[in-house]
Amino acid sequence: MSNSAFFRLQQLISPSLPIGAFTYSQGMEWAVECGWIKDADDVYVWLDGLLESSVGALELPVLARLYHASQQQDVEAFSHWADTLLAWRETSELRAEECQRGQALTMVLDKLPDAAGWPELQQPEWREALGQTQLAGFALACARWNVDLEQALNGYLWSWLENMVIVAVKLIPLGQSDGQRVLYRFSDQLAAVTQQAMIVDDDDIGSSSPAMAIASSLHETQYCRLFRS
Amino acid sequence: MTVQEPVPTDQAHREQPTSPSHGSGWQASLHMQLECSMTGHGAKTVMTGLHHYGPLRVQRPFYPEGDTAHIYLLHPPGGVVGGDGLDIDITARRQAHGLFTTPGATKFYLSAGDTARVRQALTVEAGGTLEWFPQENIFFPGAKVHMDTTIDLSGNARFMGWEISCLGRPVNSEIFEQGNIDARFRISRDGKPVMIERLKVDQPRHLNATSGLRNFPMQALFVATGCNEALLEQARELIEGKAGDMPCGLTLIDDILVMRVLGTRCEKIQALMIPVWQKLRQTLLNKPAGIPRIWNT
Repeated sequence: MSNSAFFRLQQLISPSLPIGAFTYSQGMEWAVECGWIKDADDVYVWLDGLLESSVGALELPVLARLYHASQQQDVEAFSHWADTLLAWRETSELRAEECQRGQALTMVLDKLPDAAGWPELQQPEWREALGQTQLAGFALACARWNVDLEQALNGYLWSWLENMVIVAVKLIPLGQSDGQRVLYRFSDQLAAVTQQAMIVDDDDIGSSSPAMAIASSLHETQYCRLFRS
Repeated sequence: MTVQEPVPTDQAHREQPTSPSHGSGWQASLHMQLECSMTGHGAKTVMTGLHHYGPLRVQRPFYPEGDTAHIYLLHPPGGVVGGDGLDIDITARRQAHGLFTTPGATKFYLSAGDTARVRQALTVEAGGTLEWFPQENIFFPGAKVHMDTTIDLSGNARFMGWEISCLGRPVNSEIFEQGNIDARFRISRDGKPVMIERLKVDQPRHLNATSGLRNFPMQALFVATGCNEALLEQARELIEGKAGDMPCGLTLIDDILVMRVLGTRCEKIQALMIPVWQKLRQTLLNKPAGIPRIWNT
């Protein structure tokens, strides 16, 4: 992977990428409110479950397929996996999050001098898929910039985890160093999650996190909220 | 109709595969269509094209509320073991309205090695209505089961249904410490996936994952098409304060109201879901509240 590709991946996974990642808690705000998550250990265990049963089982394998579809200029496959990802999103808030992030990322790409010339950004079928999930734009950009697939998945995984930990630090609240310790605890296991995700069959893709889905449903009517999901 | 095989009567009998030509367990299938038929008393829904094979049967429909066919599915009486295959294929045609349930829970026993496979393909054509309310699936410790329930809707087809899963046997304090469950529930409309849900448990840690099952042995999903924000609000009011310690959430995915519950007892889960079903049934299908008679027996 070239140096340019490495740095472009960093740009895509940075919390400073203006797609509003820090405004979504994916049900964690309700889980904290109701006492399911009280401290740094609870955060670790909550995220560890999602890592195995949601992010590693759904997002990463779908991201890999979107990446291949981008490389092969296969808009049918690209749309199919974007539709599939959205169908797996468990609640109306999680769907809204997916679409909002997808649309925001597309707007970022529209304004980058290199990306603005990509034919995919001019074609309605591609744009529809891009506006359904942030994975679509992420995959397209990684494929276009020749970011190595495994590194793209690792990067996505890290950005998800970092964002969730930032959310937890704000919500519980935790000290900054507690948040860093949670992140550090994950560092030895993340590569294995990516490697496992790269060998999942199409038929075995799919998340199974019922308590997160219920937390996200209940967040829709939570009285006092900081986060949009 | 095809050749009938002897019906096993107990689990011990089930240890002896009797259908060597079809793998290691029972292979059973049930295919049918529901059609709206004009009779002397007006329109009613009838079963057509019924084919069944092996120990998977259906009782004659009955009509406690006029045109709607109420149909009992009879699963293999000895329960399901590893290697068994159940294949259900039901199509509700235009204007047909069928309500399916089962007289009791479906039991999946400890597997000696093979996986039991259950495929339930439900198709509802434009103008048709299907209600799918089987009683719970009980997965005994050590069961290996792959279930795939697909609901294919066309146009304005309507569907309401649930899937209730019980891991282990909580009444006997038997925990699902080993085994392998992968149950998918998918709804698509006009060929496009709308919602996909999955219960996957193949490691003891999946039982106590805080974002997963949280040590609840039962997980339930209820869905109903044709809903909107106002109905979601009414459904939320119906369950307000009634869930107790059971995590229970409602949301709206396109026009599908989705309710999820974790619990320890089937009756308590049903006590949350049935009022929501009956309310939506009254509002969307213009059918009276009431529950299938067989549940009372």
